[in-house]
Amino acid sequence: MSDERDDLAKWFEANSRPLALYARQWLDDHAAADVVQDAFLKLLGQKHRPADARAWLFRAVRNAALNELRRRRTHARHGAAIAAGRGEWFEQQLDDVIDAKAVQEALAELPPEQSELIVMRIWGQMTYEQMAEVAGVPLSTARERYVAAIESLRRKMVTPWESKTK
Amino acid sequence: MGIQDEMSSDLSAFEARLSKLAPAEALDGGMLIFRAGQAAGAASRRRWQMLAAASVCVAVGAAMMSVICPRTRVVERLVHVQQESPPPVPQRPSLAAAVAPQPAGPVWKPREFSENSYFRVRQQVLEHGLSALPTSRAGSAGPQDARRLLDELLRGDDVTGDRRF
Repeated sequence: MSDERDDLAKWFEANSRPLALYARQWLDDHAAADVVQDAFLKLLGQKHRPADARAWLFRAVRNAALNELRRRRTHARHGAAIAAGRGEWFEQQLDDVIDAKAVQEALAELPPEQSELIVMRIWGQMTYEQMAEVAGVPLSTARERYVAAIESLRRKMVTPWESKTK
Repeated sequence: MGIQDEMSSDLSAFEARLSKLAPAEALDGGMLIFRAGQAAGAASRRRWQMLAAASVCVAVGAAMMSVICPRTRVVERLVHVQQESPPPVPQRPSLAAAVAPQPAGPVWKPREFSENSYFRVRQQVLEHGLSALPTSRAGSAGPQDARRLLDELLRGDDVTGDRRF
């Protein structure tokens, strides 16, 4: 039992923040936190531990978030205004080279099928194979979709002054 | 064509800058541990509840069986069985018979000779003298006849019967 608690603490430490950010692509803060907690508890209750616990957790969070979204019959994504009303998705540091608030708003404007790939790749540190498995798409589709998503996010992050200078 | 080839250096740099951002803390680790303990306790409680429910079901089933099913009746019957007579035991010889000395050999009995056999005639002669000899024409017979008569006597043939010399 102590080993299980140690494993749970380790997984929580390594994955709780990216998982919460991932769940926020569909749900509000409170619902996202519940979904992630349930995913950890479900992992703890597994008789056989999955070989890739991280991918398993992301898949569990994705399924639970989509189910919750269907249950509420509301779209969690309502653009930047709704995203701004949410809590902070990132911890803003003084020495950050990028504006966390701007990233949050830009991510919120992306369609979920693109933003989820960015979260998995950048903050979940997952491979394209893992991303494809979690998202349920072919590997080539996951790659192409990710490239398109990161380009789209970058375009949204470009300030008007930067766009004029280019 | 690799993914790094697909992405320009600007995009790679953009990725690197994004990765510097740290996602905000959204979950309470203590709450998660508490819920994990709750779940473990609930599982243990459910296990005990299921065990208790199974025991109650078994007890109720046993009680129903004892009420519904007829009890086994013990009937005592007297059965007369004709005892078969034991096989006859061979009689042992009595002690006196067993102790009595057994004859060592066959009992001698006087041999019965035919009436006109040699030994009978001899016996009669020995008892009564020559007058007991059977009447015959022995006196008139020659030496050959006497010899033959003697042979016949020795063989035990009838010398006084129908034979005529």
